[in-house]
Amino acid sequence: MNTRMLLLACTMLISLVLPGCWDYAEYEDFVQIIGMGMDYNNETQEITLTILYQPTEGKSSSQPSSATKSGGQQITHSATDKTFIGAATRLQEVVHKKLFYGYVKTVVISEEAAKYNMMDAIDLFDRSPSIHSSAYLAITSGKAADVIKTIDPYQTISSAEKIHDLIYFAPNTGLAYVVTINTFKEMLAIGGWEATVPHIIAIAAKSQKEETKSSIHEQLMLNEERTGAHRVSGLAAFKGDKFVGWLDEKESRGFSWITGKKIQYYTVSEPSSVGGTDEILYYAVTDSNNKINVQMENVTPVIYVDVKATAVLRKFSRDKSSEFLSLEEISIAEQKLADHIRSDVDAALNKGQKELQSDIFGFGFAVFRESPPLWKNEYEAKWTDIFPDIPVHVTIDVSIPNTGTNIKRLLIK
Amino acid sequence: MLENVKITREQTIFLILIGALGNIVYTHTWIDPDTDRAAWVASLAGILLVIPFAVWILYLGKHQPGGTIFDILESGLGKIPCAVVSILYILINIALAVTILNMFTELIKTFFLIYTPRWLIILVMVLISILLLSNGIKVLARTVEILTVIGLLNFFFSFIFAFPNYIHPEYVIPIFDTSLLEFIKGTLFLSGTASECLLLLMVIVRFIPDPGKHYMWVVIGLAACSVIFSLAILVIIAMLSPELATRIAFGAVNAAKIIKVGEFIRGLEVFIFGTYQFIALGKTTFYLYCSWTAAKKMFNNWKPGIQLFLLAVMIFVPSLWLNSYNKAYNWAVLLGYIVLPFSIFVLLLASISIMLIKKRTGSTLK
Repeated sequence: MNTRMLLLACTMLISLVLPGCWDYAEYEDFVQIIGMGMDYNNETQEITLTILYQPTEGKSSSQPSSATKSGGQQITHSATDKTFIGAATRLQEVVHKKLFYGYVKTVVISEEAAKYNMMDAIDLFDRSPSIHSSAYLAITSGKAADVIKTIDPYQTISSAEKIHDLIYFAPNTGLAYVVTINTFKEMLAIGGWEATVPHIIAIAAKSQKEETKSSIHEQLMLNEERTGAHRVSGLAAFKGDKFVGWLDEKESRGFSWITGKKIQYYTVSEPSSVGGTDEILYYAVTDSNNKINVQMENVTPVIYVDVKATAVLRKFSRDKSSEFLSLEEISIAEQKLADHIRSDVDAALNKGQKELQSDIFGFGFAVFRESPPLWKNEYEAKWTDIFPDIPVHVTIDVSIPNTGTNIKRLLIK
Repeated sequence: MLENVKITREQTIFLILIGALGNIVYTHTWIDPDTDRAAWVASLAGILLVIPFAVWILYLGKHQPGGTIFDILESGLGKIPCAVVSILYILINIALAVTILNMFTELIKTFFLIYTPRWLIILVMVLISILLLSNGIKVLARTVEILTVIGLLNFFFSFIFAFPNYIHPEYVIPIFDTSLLEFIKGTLFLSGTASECLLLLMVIVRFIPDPGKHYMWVVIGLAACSVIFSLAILVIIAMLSPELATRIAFGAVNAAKIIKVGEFIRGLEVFIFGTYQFIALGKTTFYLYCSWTAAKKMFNNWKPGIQLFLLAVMIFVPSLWLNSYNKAYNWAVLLGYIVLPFSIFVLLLASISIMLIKKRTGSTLK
């Protein structure tokens, strides 16, 4: 019994006391990085890493908070090196606390980095347990550093949080959807499905377009700050691990329709050449879904995309209708929305299939799901070559279950 | 050697459940290139395939109530063949303990205690195992019972947050995208790794009351294990895609890391780590217990405390020496191909032993 008690006491002592010793750290000993930006210069083959963090020190109530005067209290530093790790090490040299990457919310990658050196970052994120793979990924057409350093003086959140929120709410416009580091890895790893990532841009404030406040020292850019705003501007398309092009707003919406992303946004019908803007109908899309079917026709896979959307009417033409909205008129309204969606879908297909020749829609993955042996033995190796010529048939089915709060038009006396 | 202690139905079920979940929680990815999306079905089938062998042990156990398989071997074949088998058995158990301790230690060091020395983590694990064993099988069985329930609840409650946003049916359906041959290859490997429970059953059979009658206890244990483990693999595949799931080191921890519900619920890997810890602790204790039981038999119960200590050292030192997740993974895969053939070999010898005993006593096998 005594031996047991001794063993128990020893084990408890060791369990309770020792394991924490080596990894003991106070919250204040870290800087919590919440945003990262990666730029790449293909000529010098150098990576510029930008980090954004919020100070963890407590402030006395008498001290004025910078958050109150300039959108969110954020500190940004950039460092340039041949490698991502090298740049991160340089940044640690200028930050007096340990860099902690566990709370990174947003990672912004520049177009050039996405084109030439995407895997340098992705492989690092993939293997590093400290970076959560639930962090959002975004590509920018400018410099990632500029996007990260841009703060909105009228908002109390950092740029990383703002980009995070913009992407989160992107389905409200149908322009983009959430892509985390993990989602991106899935798209890279799964055959017959190329990656897409939200496109984010920073709009600098007019008076400060060329002005920044910063100090530069040996490839380190410290405390740089720009004022402006951010915007989600569509999607960046990849082929393998290389960025190949942008999808504009119309194409991005078409992509969302094809791939069945949940779109909930306001849209309008195409303006007619005769009626002008009076003829334009407004809709609130409340639900959408898709179905991608594959049929083999003469040894060629044919893709059938079936898009279903539910929308409610928000504006009908002002004077040119009967007092009641007839079923026929509702049917026309449905057709007009269907035409509008079709034009988005056609634009997306044209861009992805014909221009970029990248299977961002996952049609190859649909072929795999239809017949895994056929995909593996027949199409996987040559999919990139045959994809641009694969026939795609699109069916759009729109339903308008209600016309809003009214069933009659407003009669003006 | 005969002990009067008996374990209950529930304790047997939980001992078998954890007994089958050892190195398999890390090495299941080995079969993924063969089984692809059907990895979870292979897990289900692989563990179920162990059932006949487990029932075989109980059948053998009924011929020597209160005795282990080694008691049967000694009675039938004599001391020296039994000692040879026991040495092999001890070495396999030590090797299994070394691999799981290394993989678990690297899991802790990768995600949680980066700077804590590995010797300390291994030492704590081994010390807790000694502590559990020094209190007898009943305490061990009760502890396993409690920890298994906590571990499983913990595991599946954490993954509830993955529904529905992180679950992708398209990653699971179609289920079969591999050839039958590859599927069978994967299934057999998983049977091999799950058959670690046979090593435990060889010694705990003496505590199962009337083992010939209560074969359903182990059937339920293994069936529950196959459902739980395959469900865990299914969730991981549905969350990460089979393509990513095949290459990750710590399946469920990696999967739990991507779960984020709003700003508040995240970091669920901490809970999943708890389940891994219970499994590693339970299995280390089992391996040590199996080795200890065989050693006690070999040395006629001479100073069991010292034997336990020496066996713990024999696990601790090679664990420090191996010092690598990747090496441990490869060793565990190799052991996955060894454990089942070895178990079948021992069971064949035990069956021959019983035939010889019956022959000697002039009776016939029922």
